[in-house]
Amino acid sequence: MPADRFLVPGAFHWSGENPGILLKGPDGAFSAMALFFRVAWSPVGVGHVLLLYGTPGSSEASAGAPNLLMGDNPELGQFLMEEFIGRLAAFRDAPPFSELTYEHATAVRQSGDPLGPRYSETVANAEHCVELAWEDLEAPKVLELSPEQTGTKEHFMTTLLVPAKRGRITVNGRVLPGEVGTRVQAGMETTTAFLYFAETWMFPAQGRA
Amino acid sequence: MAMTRPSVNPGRVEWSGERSCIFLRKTGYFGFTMIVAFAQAVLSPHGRGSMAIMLGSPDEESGWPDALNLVLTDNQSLARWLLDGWIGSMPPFAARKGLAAAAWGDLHSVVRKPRDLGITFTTTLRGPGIEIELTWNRLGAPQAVFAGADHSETGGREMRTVAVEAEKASVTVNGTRLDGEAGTWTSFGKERSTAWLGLSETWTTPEAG
Repeated sequence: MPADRFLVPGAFHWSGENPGILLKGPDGAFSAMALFFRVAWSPVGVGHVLLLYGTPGSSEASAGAPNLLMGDNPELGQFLMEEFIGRLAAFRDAPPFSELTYEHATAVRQSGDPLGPRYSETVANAEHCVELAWEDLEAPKVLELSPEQTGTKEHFMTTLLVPAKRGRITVNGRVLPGEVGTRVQAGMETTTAFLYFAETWMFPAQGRA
Repeated sequence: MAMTRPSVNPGRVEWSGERSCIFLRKTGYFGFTMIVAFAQAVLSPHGRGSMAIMLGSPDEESGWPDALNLVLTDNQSLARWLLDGWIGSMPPFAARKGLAAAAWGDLHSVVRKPRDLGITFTTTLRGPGIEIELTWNRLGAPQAVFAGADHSETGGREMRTVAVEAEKASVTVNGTRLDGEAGTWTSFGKERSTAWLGLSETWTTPEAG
């Protein structure tokens, strides 16, 4: 049988949306970090997960700036923590990583337009309401990255990036402090507030690292 | 694909989202007798939204309720754009009389279940006086697919998608399961199922010159 030239080789890991906001304080350190996942396919199904480090420098956060893992599929939350977020050094090496407990989210809501002035994701339960908002959005770009260009250093990844010049994380009505900064991805200067759509993570064909 | 292509694709992003299809054949018929596409755009020049095109009488020049040819959508300009630029020019929709004659209605709701994507996945669409249930059965493993501008279904554009093929599929309208079975057809140079989920799909137009 001839090789299927349309199939991208490799071991499929997961696919979906993975926007985030990383805010920095005056000292340049992260003051708040958030990743949101809307997963279209994973080995444990679909769903939504929010990871928030309201206090990235400590495992003991205040009520106003909590460290949270919220979602509507606990298996997916566990899968992402163990299989994906645990491979991202900036999140894995932060003190809150090992202290998080999963909270069930009762509501997940998207609003806005990634080609418009504002886009947001809100995740809530009885105790916490977290809104991530991206503003001053730039033109979308498709990225096709090799393992050395990805955060995990282990996957091939394709994604649709929409950078934002401004980002805001609000917890129970309180805006967390910090500003959007800059970063370099695949040789391109971009920002620390980003929408990622249609993102697919695959291990190289020879197997997982 | 990431190894030989630019990491930051210079092409223009057209739209991104999902495009899932079911094409059924009745016993004794050569061509498809029921063709359905369901699309959800998360990013497009016409905003976000969902649409479904169903041609149950593809060669009949009439629309619902006289014939089962209809479009349901919550964003008419998006649906028109997708039909004119993408879905309408793809086999087996292209040049079918039922396409131009299809009646249009509002899409009131989209319900999708279950969330494990393990064996069966169902999308239920409700519109004015109609409920359509699309079911993909015996889902296979996800496959990342890339079609370059010379090979994508519309020609001149690049497509990235995550295809999850289904061995079997069914279409139910207002509680009545329609005749016909999913089979195989030649797609992207290989025998593939006529029922599949197309997740995390992004279309780009290559840079001119």
